[in-house]
Amino acid sequence: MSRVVRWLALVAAAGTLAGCTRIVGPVRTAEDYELKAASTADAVLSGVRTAELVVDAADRGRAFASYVAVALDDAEGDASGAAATFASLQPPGPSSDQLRDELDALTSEATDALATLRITARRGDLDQLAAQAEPLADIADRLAAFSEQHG
Amino acid sequence: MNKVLGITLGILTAMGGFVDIGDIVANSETGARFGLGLAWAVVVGVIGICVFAEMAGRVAAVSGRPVFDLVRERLGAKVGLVNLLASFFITFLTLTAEIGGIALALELASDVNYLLWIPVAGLAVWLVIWRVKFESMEQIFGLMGLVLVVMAVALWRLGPDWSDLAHQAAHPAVPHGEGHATYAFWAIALFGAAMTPYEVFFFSSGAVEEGWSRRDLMLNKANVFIGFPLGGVLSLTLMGLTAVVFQPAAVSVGSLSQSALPVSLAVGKLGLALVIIGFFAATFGAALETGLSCGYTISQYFGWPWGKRVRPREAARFHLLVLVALGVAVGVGLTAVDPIKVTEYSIVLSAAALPLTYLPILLVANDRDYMGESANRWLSNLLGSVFLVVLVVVAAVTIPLMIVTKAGS
Repeated sequence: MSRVVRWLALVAAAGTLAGCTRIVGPVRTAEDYELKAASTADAVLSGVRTAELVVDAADRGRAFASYVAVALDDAEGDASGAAATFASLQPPGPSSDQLRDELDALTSEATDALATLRITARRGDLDQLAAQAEPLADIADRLAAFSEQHG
Repeated sequence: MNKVLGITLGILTAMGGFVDIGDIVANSETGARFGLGLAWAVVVGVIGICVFAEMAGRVAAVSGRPVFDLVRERLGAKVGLVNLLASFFITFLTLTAEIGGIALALELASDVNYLLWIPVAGLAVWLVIWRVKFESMEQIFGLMGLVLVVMAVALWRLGPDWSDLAHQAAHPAVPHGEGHATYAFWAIALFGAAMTPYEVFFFSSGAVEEGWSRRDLMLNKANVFIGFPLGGVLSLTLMGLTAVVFQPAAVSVGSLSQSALPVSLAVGKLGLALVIIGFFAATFGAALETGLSCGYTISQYFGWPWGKRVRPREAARFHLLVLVALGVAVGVGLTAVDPIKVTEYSIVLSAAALPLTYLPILLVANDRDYMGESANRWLSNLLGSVFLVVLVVVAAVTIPLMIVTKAGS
């Protein structure tokens, strides 16, 4: 019986550890790296589109300032987290460097735009958000195109 | 009015079971990724929890003792210990997540970082457990959680294509870009969330706290068959909201702010305020349930006096356990571990431990020495046996699926 108890404890501890830490798997081939790049673009795109919806709610007076600030902060955190995870991957060869540079430029543009929105929301200038969010649509389109091309 | 208030135990238990922090995010995420293609998992989970919660409540009403108390007596100390260790670990993980969930809800309302709210949340939960009567506690938080009905209003105001939603629910399919293993993982997560073990510990212990007897068997049924399906409907509503708003935009959901966004878009500031109050009430209620359950399970296993119905001096070890569990949960929460990840894993791990909780309930509910004429009838046994087979299969595949799918990512 004690073996069963130990096994349960081990499984639970392993599962919990796995859940509470961000594990980045190794990338061995250019194809793997390309797929990870596409999924990173998807994750950043998700943050960008969430921000667009939040700004829409704020612009129509359907959300209050504290919520808008937190929601934009979360969107930025999701996008920058995904970008940072991809940036930590070692490209498998020189042929992947161009892909890395291309995505890095795109994600930086996205996270910068999201950071600007978050700063504005935290200052309580909700009426400026819509104008500042205008580049998001173009960034979202390019992220979607990148994902489709490499996914 | 008394009859309505009589079912608040079931409502509070179901709020914790179906719309706690993990469920809120899991339902939102599955809605955004799979539409209503996993609604069936919630429905199956609701039926399963109804079957076993009805048994657990009936055992408590007839014997005057909660399930965990009888498990050890009926199945022995060793089996009881395995059950205790698995259940306590999962319940404690969930408590940690709920404290974080309360803090996240407060952050949405205040824009003050959730880490600063965690000690406040822990203290507030302890004060309520210490000072507030059991009945008052369940009525306040059970009924406050009902403001989440605003989610149904939001879904209606969004004006979705109802026939399309019905089609998605009735013809489940794996969407393009998702794997079958990932689909199965999320089905298990939703099923595990619906059947979280602490629900039956809290529900049966709550029945004893309220002094249920054989005369309350109908009250037990009303609590189970109104409270739990209500929780299930709220789960499905949340899934529907994110399916309508996020799935077409290919947005993945991983935060509480995203779960509230569809209500904000559809109903406005009032709706947003109500849904945040509802999230607060549901996570606070779940923290009360899990905090108390940490004390219930260990005290009942060792045969110590327990519960809020006895004076704190007589149940000192029970109250100390609750206090220590809350203190450690606050400490873990302050390490900045992601509360949403913690609760997602706790519901998946709970799926792996489900047979350990529900087999003993089925056995005790069939034992005529305890139950007399109120022992299980054929329908309860049939449903209980079918679900037990499902639970064993779920338990066997949960961990492999978690590894293969990288936890559904």
